[in-house]
Amino acid sequence: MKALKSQNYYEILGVSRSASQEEIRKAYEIAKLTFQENSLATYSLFSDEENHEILALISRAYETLYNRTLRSEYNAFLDGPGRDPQALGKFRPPEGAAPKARPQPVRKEAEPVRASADEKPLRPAPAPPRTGGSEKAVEEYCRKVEQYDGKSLRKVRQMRGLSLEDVADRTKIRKTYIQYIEEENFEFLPASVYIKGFVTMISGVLQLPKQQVAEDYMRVFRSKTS
Amino acid sequence: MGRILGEKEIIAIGGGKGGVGKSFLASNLGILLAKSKKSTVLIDADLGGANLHTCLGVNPPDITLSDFVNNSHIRIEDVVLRTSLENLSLISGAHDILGIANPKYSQKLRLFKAIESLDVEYVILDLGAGTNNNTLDFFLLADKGVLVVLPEPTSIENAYRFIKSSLYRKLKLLTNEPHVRMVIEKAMDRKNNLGIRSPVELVEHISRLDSRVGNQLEEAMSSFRPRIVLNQVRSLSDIRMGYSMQNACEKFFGLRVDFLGYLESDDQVWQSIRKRQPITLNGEHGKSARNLRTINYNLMNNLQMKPE
Ligand SMILES: Nc1ncnc2c1ncn2[C@@H]1O[C@H](COP(=O)(O)OP(=O)(O)O)[C@@H](O)[C@H]1O
Ligand SMILES: [Mg+2]
Repeated sequence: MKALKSQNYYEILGVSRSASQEEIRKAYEIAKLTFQENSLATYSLFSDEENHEILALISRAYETLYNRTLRSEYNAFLDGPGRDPQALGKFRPPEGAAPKARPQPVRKEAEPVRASADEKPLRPAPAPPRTGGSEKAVEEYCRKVEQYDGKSLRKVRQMRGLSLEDVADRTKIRKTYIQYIEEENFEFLPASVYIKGFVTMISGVLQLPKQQVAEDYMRVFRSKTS
Repeated sequence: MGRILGEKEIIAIGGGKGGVGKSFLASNLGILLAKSKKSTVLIDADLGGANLHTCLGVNPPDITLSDFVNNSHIRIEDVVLRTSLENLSLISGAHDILGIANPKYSQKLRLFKAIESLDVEYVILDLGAGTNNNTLDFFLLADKGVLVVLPEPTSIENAYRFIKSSLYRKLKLLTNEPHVRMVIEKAMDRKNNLGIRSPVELVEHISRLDSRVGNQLEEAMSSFRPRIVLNQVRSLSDIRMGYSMQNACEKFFGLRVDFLGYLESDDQVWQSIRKRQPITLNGEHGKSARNLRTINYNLMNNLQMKPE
């Protein structure tokens, strides 16, 4: 068993890769009870703050795995060539890389977190990607793109009317990481294996051809870092 | 029997706290295994508070584990007692406390070797309360260690302490490096000045000092897999405590912990104890009997409960 910070979402929830939706939901229900405040099972092991942090991590794992689309993207991310499947707690910042995430308030009500951020956002709903006029403009822009890079990701994001926070909210990738990806500021990003996963998830939110974007972007990455 | 000699499983039943039902579970598991035609010996390893014979309705025996420990001419087979059940035998615990509560290291080694040499399919060790080194060593000797826990704070805390103490002892015995041992000893104290709060952090710390030993410890951790049985559950939320403890242990200790199952309070048990009859759970078909079979099944097959 690995340290929590290097566990992947399946390990964090304690379910197998083949777990059903139902199993994932049950695991989440139990985890919520386990790490709630004044829990009999954890009061002698974890501080309230640690409980909050664990619970936030568990919620993130649940939100990703309970959503079929996000789950298959995450699986692809885990299975990517040469990727270290252990390292995939990774939509989480490495310890000490940035100010510690403030513990999130625990949702006391029993409502399960919904499958998709669009159905029941944790924060006020980010504007859904607009279609119509802006869609056309995006299409037109993309036709002219020869190779997707940080700049084009930013451009499309803005054309879609999404803020960095919006994308962070939907991908659960740290806002600063998304910013670094757009700036092609590789120095502060985690290892390259995660960058590809991040880019894949970002392009999903931006409704771009994920695979192509990821491949293009990694070419940029390699030319700039080697 | 098509069994390879010496091929057996040693199961330890512990849990830190007294009166939680360790002997109760040990004897009932023994009875269940014996009834399914597995040769089983129950060993009362509560060196000081032995009472397993009572659970089995056996008179206080004349010959006990302390005779074996204190007399090198007595073989382990000589202290094995038959019970009223075919396939089930008993090694009774020491009743003279002073004689054995603190065996010498060499005595302990001889005892452990003898236990491993017993010609049976299952050995069940019924451990005493607390976390002294003898108890921990019995727990670590076993192939599978089970903790009996009540769904209440003191018992849960005790179980966690037991897991932590036995794990740290296992890690400590693994290495002769004095500085590594010192770190482990320091880490036992939660308020240590090294900032190590959990076994996961301990292993990380040691890996930085010495990556070879770090790997060794990591491997030892991955083979250490305590099991939990909840006793005296009264409600659904009591049962959930089993999953929660499992969850919390995995996150805190970085260990795989299996929740094997739970037992309710079985009134009939009291009556059989009063009549000095062997404990049997409420008939073959009662709820308790079914719960016990679940526990046994999960234990034997390396499985765990699944949330409903
Ligand atoms: N599930 C149960 N139903 C009924 N009686 C029980 C149950 N578990 C334990 N007991 C009783 O509680 C008392 C304490 O149990 P015991 O097994 O001796 O505890 P320990 O060995 O942990 O000190 C005993 O009288 C035992 O028969
Ligand atoms: Mg006992």
